[in-house]
Amino acid sequence: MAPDLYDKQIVTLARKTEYMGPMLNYDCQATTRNRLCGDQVTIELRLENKKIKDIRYQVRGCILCEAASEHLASLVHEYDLEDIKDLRLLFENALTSTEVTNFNLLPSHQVFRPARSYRNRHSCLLLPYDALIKTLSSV
Amino acid sequence: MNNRNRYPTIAGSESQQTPFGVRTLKASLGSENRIYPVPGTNYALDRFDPEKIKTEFSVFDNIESKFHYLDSAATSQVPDCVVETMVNQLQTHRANVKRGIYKMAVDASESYERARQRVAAYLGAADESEVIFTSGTTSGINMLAYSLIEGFAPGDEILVSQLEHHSNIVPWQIVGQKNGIRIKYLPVMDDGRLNLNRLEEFITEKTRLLAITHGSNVTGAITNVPYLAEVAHYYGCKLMLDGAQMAAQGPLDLLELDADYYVFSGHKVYGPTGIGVLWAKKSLLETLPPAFGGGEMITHVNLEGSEYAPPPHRFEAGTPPITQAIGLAQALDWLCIQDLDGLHQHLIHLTEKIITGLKHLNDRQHAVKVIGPVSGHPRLPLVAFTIEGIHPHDICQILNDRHGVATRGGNHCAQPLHDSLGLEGSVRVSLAAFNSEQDVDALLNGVEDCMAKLG
Repeated sequence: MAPDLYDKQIVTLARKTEYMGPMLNYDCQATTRNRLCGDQVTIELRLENKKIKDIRYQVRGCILCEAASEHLASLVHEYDLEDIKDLRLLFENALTSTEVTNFNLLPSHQVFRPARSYRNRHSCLLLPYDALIKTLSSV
Repeated sequence: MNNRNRYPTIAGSESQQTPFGVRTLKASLGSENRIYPVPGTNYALDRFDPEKIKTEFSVFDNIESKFHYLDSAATSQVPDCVVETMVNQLQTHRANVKRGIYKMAVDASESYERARQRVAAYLGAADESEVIFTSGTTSGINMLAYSLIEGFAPGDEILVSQLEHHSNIVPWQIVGQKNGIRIKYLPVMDDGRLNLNRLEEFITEKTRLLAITHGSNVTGAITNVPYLAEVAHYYGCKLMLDGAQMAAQGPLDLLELDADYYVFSGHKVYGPTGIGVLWAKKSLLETLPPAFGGGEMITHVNLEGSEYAPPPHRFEAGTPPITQAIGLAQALDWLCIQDLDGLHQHLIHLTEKIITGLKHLNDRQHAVKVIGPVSGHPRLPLVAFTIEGIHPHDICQILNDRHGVATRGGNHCAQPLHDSLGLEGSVRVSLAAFNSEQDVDALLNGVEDCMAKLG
C-alpha cells in the first residue's frame, strides 16, 4: 500500500507561511505554471552578487506545491542559480530513482519521501524549483 | 423569440419524458441484424440494471481493490462487445479501405462504410454521407475551422461562449488570428448556464457562425439548442454544436435540433479512442473545401491541381481510423439496445444523490460549492464542485488513495469558464451506465473524509 501522501508533516509544512507573500522592492520575479494542472508559483528575490539574500513566494496550488514552496524558501539563503539547479536535480532523483537511499542526500527533504510513490504529483513538488530557476535566470 | 426550454429537468416533470433530450429508438439493420437507432419503438432487451451492465465491462474485473470509476466525462470505459468487435476486425479483415480488390479489403471497406451508416442513424442524419470520421472532437472542430475559414472574410465574427472546452476555443482563435476573424464570447451565468438572454447582443451582421457546446463538461448545463438554432438561423448564421458530452446520452436527432454542424468523440460514448465524428448537413459539406489533402479524398490529381471527391471522402484524407470507426459503431449499437429510459432515470437519480450529498456536507461545514444549474434546469450526469481551502488535486488524490474513487481535478480544459466563475479549479464527478449507488456512496464518504483530513 502506498504511504499516506498527506501525512501530518507535509500538511503542517504546507500551512506554514513564513516566506509566503509578496516582497517589496525585489530584484527579480518570475512565475511558472504547471501545464498539467494550471497551478502556479511566483517567486520574488533580493540578490547580492547573484546569491539569494531574501525570498518570497506566492502559490496557487495544491498542498504539495505549498509545502515544497515553503520548504524550498527556507533552504536557499546564499544559493545561486547553479546551486538551485543542483538541488532540483538531487530532489528529482530522490523522487524518481529506484534507489531509496537517494533521499539520504537531502535530509531536510525527508518529509517528501511519501511522494516517491506518486509519480503524477512530482511536478507539484518541483514547480517551485522551476519557478526559482526561472527567476534567477531572468537576472 | 422566447427563451423556450424543451429539455427535461432534474426535478421537473419533464424529466419523465425524454431525459437528456435524446431519442430512445432503434430497429434492426440489414443482414447483420445490427441494432440501429431509427424512428420507432424502444426495443430495449432488458430493464436497466447497473450491476448487470457492469458485468459487460471486463475492465472492472481486472482491478484487484475497490474501484469506483467516476471520470467518464473524460473517457468512458468500453463494453466487452466493442473490444471483441475491434479484435475481430483486426483478426479477420484488417486491410486498407476503398483500395484493395481482395476479399479482406472489400470486407474492411464494407465494415467501415456500414459503421458510417450506423453513426448516421444514431445522429438522426438525413444521409450517411453527412458523417465524416475524424480522430475526435478536437480534430473535428479544427477540420471544420480550417474548412469554413476559406469562406470567411476579414472582419467576420464567430461567436463561441465562456462555457466551452478549450477544443472549442483555441481552434477558432488560431484561424481567427490568421485570417482577421473576430472571436466573441457569449457569457455564462453564475449557475453555469449560457446567458442566452444576451445572445442577440453578441450577434451582428458580421457573425457567420455560432460554435457552442451542447452540454458543458464542467457545469453539466445542457444548452437550449432549439432556441440557439432559431436565433442563429434568424440572423443568417450557422450553428455548430460540440457534442462531446451530450452524444453519450443516447441517440440524437440532429435534424430536429436544427444544428448545421455537430462533433463528438468515440472515447466518451463507450467507444475507442482515436475516433470521432464531424457531421454536417449535406448541402453545406458539398460547398466546403477540404482542410487536409492526401490520398482517398480526390477524384483526379495531376501536376496542375486536384479534383476533390464528394463528401464524406473529401474530408477523409489518407487512411482513416478503420478499426476505431467499427468499434465506435458497435459502441453506439450497444448503447441503443439498453433501456435508455431506465438508464436516464438512473443517472438522474445518481446525479441528484451526489448534489444532495454534497449540499448536506455543505450544510455542516459551509465549505462545499456545487457548480452548475440547480434543480429544475437540465443537466448532464456530471457534477463539479469545490471545497473551500482544499485544492482539487488534493481532493482527487485522497478520493483515489483512500476510497478508490477516480475523479478529475483541475480546470477540465475550461480555463475561461473557471475564470468567469472566479474559480481556480474544481473536482468533477461524471457518471456512466455502469455506475451504481455504491460508487456515489464511496464518493460522498470520500469527500467527507477529505474535509476531515485537510479542511
